[in-house]
Amino acid sequence: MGRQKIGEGGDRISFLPEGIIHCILSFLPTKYAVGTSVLSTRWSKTVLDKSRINAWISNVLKRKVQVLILNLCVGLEPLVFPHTLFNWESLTIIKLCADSVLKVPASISFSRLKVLHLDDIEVFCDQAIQHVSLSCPILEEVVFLNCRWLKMKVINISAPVLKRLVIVDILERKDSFHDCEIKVYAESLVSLELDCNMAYELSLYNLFSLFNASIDICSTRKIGQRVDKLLKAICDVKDLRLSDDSIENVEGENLKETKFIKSTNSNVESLQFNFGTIRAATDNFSDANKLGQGGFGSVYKGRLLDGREIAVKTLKKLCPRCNRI
Amino acid sequence: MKDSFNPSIEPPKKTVTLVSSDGYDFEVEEEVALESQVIKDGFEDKAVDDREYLLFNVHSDTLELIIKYCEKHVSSRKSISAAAASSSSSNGEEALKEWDEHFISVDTNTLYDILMAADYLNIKSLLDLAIQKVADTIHGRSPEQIRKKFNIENDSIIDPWASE
Repeated sequence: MGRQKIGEGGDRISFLPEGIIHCILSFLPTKYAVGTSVLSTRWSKTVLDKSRINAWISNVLKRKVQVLILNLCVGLEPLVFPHTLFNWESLTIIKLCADSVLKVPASISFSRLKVLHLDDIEVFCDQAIQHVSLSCPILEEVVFLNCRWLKMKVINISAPVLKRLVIVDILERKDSFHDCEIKVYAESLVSLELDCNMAYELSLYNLFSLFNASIDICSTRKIGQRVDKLLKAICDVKDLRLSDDSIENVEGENLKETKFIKSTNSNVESLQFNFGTIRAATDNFSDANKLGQGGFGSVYKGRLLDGREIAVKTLKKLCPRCNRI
Repeated sequence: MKDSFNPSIEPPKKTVTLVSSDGYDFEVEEEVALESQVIKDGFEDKAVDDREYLLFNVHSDTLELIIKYCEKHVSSRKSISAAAASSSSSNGEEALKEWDEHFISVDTNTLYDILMAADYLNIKSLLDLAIQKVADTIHGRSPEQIRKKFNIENDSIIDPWASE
């Protein structure tokens, strides 16, 4: 017929309406659907579109998957995870790593969940009550990396067999300081790792079996009360590592705190401090403070800023450690 | 049949006029036009003598194909149900499938036009057919092959598969 058509010969498929492209992708096995994301930036945007990802998650959940590991990174708009995520009892492992938003209902229960990792997730509750309870009877490991807790007053985490709890907040964001309290009921907790700024209150209850605790709290804000409370909760720990910053937070703000450490650490068998603290305490490992030579290295006498006397063993080739006497 | 009113000898049927974006009139039977959900939706509200649809997004070349598809589907539906009624065995559905496959074996540009038109007119079965065709084209091909097939220009800065 010889009539000229617009765009003939060019790339027209890429400029189909998004709805159609989504349909095309949904007709493809996931491998090829995802593969199209490298065709061009437009495809990558469309393929990695948030509604698309949510549709995938929903589809995957419908098939009763047990392990959900999601790693998203490339500068996407925050993704809002589907609400249905919380309706699936089959999940045993959830690892979400994405700059995204997790909207949670007031009551969450994962009866089979064993591992929960949230990385760079903004969690907020869309319900007026602002109290969220998470009940996971067989949960064993929880890792929260750079998570923000918004629009929530209290988060109750009930995990009777939880063994390991890790909370790391490296970035201190402007909006990250909130009046949120995370209450963790974990009577079987063995290992606790905190590297955070206590932008929220962390209350730990019933820590009967806590063995390791590594605490590094660094904040420019007044968080003495929160640190105070936290340290009280873990006073039965057997092996405690405290960073310089954490001690400064304690000492600088609340003198009672120092007493607290004194009075409670009779239970603590081994207390490990940072190198800086130790160096200050032993006057930079001066010979005057040297007590003797042990099989593992030199032993120094030291005095902490709060006046406690310590013995420092320097282990050859290892970080200097100290044991309290 | 394009561009003309055909004074046929057949008994007069209710017809609808579809006007393509480049101004050609297509006279089609009512039931053929009703394959389009968009036409169907507003059909009853339109006056009988005003059953003319201006399809601004559909070129006459494409519209011709679309009408061909709809006519085929209407007629084979009739024959399939007739065969079912007389309980005689029929491979009508399979034949239609084969016909569809042949129908959609077109070049990329035409496929694109059919996709757009099927979407615009909301003809579900045709849209599915065209989408399946595109998906089949992508399936099993490397990104480079797909780009070539659809003339997609790779403007990504990093091609994660480039090194493979």
